[in-house]
Amino acid sequence: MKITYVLLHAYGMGGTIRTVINQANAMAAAGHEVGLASVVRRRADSHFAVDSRVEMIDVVDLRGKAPVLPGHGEPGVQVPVGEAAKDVFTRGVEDGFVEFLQGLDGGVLVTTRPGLNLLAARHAPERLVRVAQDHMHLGRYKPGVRAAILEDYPRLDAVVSLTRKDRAEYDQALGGRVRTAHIPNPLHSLSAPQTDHSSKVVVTAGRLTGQKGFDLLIPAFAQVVHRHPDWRLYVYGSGKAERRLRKLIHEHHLYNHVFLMGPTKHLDRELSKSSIYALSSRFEGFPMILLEALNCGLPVASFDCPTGPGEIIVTGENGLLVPHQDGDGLAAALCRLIEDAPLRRRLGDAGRETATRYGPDVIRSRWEALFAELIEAKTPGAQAPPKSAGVHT
Amino acid sequence: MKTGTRPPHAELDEVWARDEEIRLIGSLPPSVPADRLWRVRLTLRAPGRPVSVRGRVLRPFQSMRRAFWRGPGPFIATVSGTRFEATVPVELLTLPIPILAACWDVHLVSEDEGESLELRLGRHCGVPPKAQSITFPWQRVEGWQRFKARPCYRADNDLSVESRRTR
Repeated sequence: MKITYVLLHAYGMGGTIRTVINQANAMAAAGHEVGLASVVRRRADSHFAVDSRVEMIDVVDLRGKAPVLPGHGEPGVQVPVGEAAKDVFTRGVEDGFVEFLQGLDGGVLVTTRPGLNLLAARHAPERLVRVAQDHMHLGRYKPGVRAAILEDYPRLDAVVSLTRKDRAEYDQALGGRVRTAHIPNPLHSLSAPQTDHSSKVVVTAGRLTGQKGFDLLIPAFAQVVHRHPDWRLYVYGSGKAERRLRKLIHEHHLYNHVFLMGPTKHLDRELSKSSIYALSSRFEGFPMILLEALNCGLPVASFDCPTGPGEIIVTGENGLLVPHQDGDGLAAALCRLIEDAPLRRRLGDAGRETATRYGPDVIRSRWEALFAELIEAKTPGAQAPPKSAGVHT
Repeated sequence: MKTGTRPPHAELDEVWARDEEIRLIGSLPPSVPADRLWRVRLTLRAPGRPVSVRGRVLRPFQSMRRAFWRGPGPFIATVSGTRFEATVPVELLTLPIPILAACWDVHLVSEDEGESLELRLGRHCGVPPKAQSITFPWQRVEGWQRFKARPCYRADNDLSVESRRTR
């Protein structure tokens, strides 16, 4: 089958980009005709390996052009204010993407963020199977974005959430007017280097932004250091909050214990050199990094965010969940894992087992089944599929 | 410890920048004798090229002053086994007029029985690169001369101490 994935910037860095490229690679490896469209392009090369069988398509090439700063450039009129990437959707970008959509001649179109999903709902031809993927969750969107979603998503053929909880929210909000499904993101591979749980290192990774809650984790780790001064916290990633986090590290005099490591292209390797993973996000869609940590055999201590970690982690079985934004609870969970090596190993082993449910082949077959069902439903004379139930639960 | 052509160094385990002190804790390499007097010596680095007009005007006077400036230290290090610990009081990192900023490389030195040993202080084991991943807070000193000082790792993972005059 022919599948076109659309990312806002396929050459950028981030969880959504990584997982969509993983999906595209898996589909291409399975023999499908796969295109990956980057609505804007600012870099020469992708941060992530793209299978040579995936056709890369640039919609608007912005290489060599000055970045559009907030409040500059002619703003687009279609993507609602409140979409986190609203600044990127200038008039030129919106028009370019609409023209691209209207030129597609068939197959499955998968768009991957609210702005792209809304434009696909309004402008993609009916001959396409139009699938919206939501990498965050409905409850996080600002009122203007949510209103547009409720109005326009029913024109799509399916809305796919990463978590069961988010799918249920969509079903309730859209009143069954569009087919929904729940398909989590896949791991890029099930073969990853494994930790031996011996290093005295807690690791975490993600963009250095408020969402990831590293400003909650650092004071929590101060409590850990008080009890276990020989343990360290490595934070991988970069972002706007770096300066603020450094200041926090300085204020707590944690510069001998908490290291801002910067981004890495070898995350699996770095995870496997650690003994515990800490997730301190204020909110998550479906935290891939948690799966990647489990895949490396790491036990996890995590906030129980509104969506995400609770669908992967069962406390005491494959990790420890603590109440949302409870820094003291997170510190206690980390101390528990530090003090109990057999528990670390037991949770790590169970975590590896959990990770197998998210292998690339398992997730790819779920997508294939959904696409086949939607294509079948588009075939003249076919029966429409049930809107809010199905095999993808 | 790094091998190759790199001169021997003493590995830092902890550097503390608080309570108006810079405290250095680490271990001597096994190849050097621990049972002798060790001191921490701060070696003034050559200044960078001035970019401002003010800097260019002051440069000859600063160079002259630097030539006669003894600088802070040395500071006695206590050694137990291969572990060493030394403290540099921040108030001693003050800068003579007209010097606006200074940066020192940090060495452990020992001069016993005519034999001189010198070890650069750095953090070469564990996580690279230190200059980005480990930073330290400035400590400010108020008074008739206001300045701030902090330790910092250089690109080669060796430690320096810098001091800047403030307004």
